[in-house]
Amino acid sequence: MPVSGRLRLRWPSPETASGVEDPSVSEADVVLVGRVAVGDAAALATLYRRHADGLFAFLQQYARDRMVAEEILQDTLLAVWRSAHLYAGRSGVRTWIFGIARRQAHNRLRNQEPRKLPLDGLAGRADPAPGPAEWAIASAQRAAIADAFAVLAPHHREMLALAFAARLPHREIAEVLGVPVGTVKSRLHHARAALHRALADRGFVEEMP
Amino acid sequence: MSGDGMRHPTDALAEYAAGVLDPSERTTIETHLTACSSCRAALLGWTAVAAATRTPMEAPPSAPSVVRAALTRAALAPQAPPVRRRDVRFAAELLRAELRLVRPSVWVASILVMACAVVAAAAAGHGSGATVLSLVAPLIAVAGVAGVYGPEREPAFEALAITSTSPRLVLLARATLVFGYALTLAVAASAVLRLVATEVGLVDLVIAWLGPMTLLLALSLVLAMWIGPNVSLGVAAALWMLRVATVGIPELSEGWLAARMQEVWATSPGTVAVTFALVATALALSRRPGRPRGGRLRPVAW
Repeated sequence: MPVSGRLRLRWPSPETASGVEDPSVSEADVVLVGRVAVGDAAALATLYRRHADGLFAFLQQYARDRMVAEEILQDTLLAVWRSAHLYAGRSGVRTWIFGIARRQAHNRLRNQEPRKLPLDGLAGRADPAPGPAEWAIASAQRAAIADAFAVLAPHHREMLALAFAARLPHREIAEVLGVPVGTVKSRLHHARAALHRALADRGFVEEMP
Repeated sequence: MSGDGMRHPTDALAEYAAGVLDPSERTTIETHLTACSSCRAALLGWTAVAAATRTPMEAPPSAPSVVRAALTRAALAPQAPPVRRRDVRFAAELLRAELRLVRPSVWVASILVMACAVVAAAAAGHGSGATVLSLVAPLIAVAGVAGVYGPEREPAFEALAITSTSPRLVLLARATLVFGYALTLAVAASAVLRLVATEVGLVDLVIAWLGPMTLLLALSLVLAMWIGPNVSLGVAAALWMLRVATVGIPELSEGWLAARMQEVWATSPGTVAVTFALVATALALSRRPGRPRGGRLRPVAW
């Protein structure tokens, strides 16, 4: 299925080579942003409906509080409304909106949780090969995992929320975070390892060897 | 297909669990999973994480409520003006904004001086209109530019000092305004003189002052941007007194100096070229941030 030729050239990724319409390069979204830029409130509502599920899922998991997530959602729409004229088409509309949402979340959560990113090289020891840990996580109760999720460091929670709550492809996560796709994949492994450690600390699974 | 010797899609399992792969990639991975127990195990881990991440998931608020809340906030809390692109609209807005900041005395003084000049030229008669205008019009323009810039003359200086618009650009905008005003005044004066004293044509009258006025203004603009408005005004006044002296003092009106002055302060291809070069320099200077160095000097007695 032919997708937007201009943007396809920029993102020659096998992930979008076929199949359903890729929301990251949707022409409809670009048109909507253009209308928001000239003050069309209905276009803002439509744009929101198109991305509400992923956006709110991401914010809920990242903020771990429905009220806070709704506030950040408002902040995000306000920022989209005010900066739509600055959208230059360098990234997809969806990654642009998620980038805004992420900044708004950082602004609002900054005082609650000091953000500390680990050096990726230090955590590189995480074993990507499947092992007993995977089985352990799979066997833990969902609720237990959700509890562990709540105590994760914000940057780990952010990775998992972007990948599994918002369901962004790794290529788009890379765009939102401004890092290479390989870094996204390794950070995701570290986030999962952190989740496992959180489960182990709470006695749900055995300590990783 | 055997699980041995094939490439494990380890990196794609997380996206498979998230459900973001397209059908063909999904099929490839599913084919591999039927034959590879280690990838099945790895996928189980990702699937559990994916499910947990989505666990306490509530529906997003409705579009009307969120959009209304956001737009209400937009209306209640006006944002700081965005940094505008430097385009034609920006230039027009800058000119309009600066128009309000130029003090009325600059406009009034200019029109009074020009009116006196017209009266004097008309009274003298005998074709002296061109000479009088060529002496007065440039001075009005330069004095106007000097009178619209600098901390001592600036009603909104504190506000301007903290904006992102370069002071040099502000000076350029105001010089444009003053130049336009002086140009209009001088054209009007020429038309009046043409009506009063019919012996000189309108075009000759305009040519008499247009070249000198633009040249002197461009020179003083570059000096004002480069060094400061006070130095600029001083240099322009000195040059102009020299010019007036060669016209008005009989002992100086013949000889080398007077000839040079006639060449320099005239509308000729040479002076036009120099004027354009100076204006280009002023435009280049206006892109530099910061203030002219002499901006804090006390004003010269004038």
